[in-house]
Amino acid sequence: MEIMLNGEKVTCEEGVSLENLLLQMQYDKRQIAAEVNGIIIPKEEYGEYIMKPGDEIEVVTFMGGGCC
Amino acid sequence: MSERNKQEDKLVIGGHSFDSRFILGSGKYSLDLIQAAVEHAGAQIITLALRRANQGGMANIMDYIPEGVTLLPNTSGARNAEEAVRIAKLSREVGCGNFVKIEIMRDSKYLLPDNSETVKATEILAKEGFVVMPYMYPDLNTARDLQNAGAAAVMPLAAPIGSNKGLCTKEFIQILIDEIDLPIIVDAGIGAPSQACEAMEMGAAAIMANTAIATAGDIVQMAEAFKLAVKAGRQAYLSGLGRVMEKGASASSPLTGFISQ
Repeated sequence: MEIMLNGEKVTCEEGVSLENLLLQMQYDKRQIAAEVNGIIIPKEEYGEYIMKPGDEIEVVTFMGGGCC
Repeated sequence: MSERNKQEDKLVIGGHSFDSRFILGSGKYSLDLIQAAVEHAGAQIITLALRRANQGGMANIMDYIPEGVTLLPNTSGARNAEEAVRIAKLSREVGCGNFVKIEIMRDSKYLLPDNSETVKATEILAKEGFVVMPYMYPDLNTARDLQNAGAAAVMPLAAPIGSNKGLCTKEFIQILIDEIDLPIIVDAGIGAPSQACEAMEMGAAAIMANTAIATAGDIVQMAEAFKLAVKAGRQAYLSGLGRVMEKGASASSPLTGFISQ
């Protein structure tokens, strides 16, 4: 099935949890936050969230920045 | 100033106290230099930006920041209060604590903050338990609104972001220092240690700088130069600057006992 990850189409297997999807993508859970369809998913709930076709995921992390 | 008073002089923001009054930005320089810059700056607070994460286990800035340093994520990229709140909540979810520097820009040429949206975001985030540090254009009415909205500090700009132009808004920052009962942290535009020192002499609670260091010839040495300047300015402020004479002169040597008498 297809989902959107950070604005790009990504194909993933049916029934995959957010936890496993992020693992497959080699994200380090300690350094990210994730939103699905505009709602923040707490890290401890990644395993419970099962991806659905068309889900829009944002995965964010920190980068260098001062102002702007 | 006594040694004891110097030891007790802490920067207190939202109930957290810091010995350092220099907040370092982490943008525009390599990850390898961050640890040395933080250490030479003596910084206990470092700002970060939140962005989409790349896949594939890329190096992450959080691995390069020394332990014990307070992370201050900004809301850069936000164009209104709603977007700033979203970024702040995502930042907290990464797991770096509840500090947030609100930055809301509608203007992409001069990157000037939107004061009214900043007040709105401050109110929402303060109610949700964030330690809110809003970046703002130095305006007394806005600063009062930010204080009423629950800001933990106020961060007026000295000059346009990244310009290194120094204390262009000096007179207005002074008004905030005199009238607002919150730490006034001068942010944006400070380009040289002398300017940081001057702002501290005026009574600013702290200085935030990024571009001045990131664009310096030697980043690590400049970080240390800023640390020393901020410290000197603070000590001068606490000491009470000598008076300025509008006219004339005043000898500092005795006016009697000249050998020619």
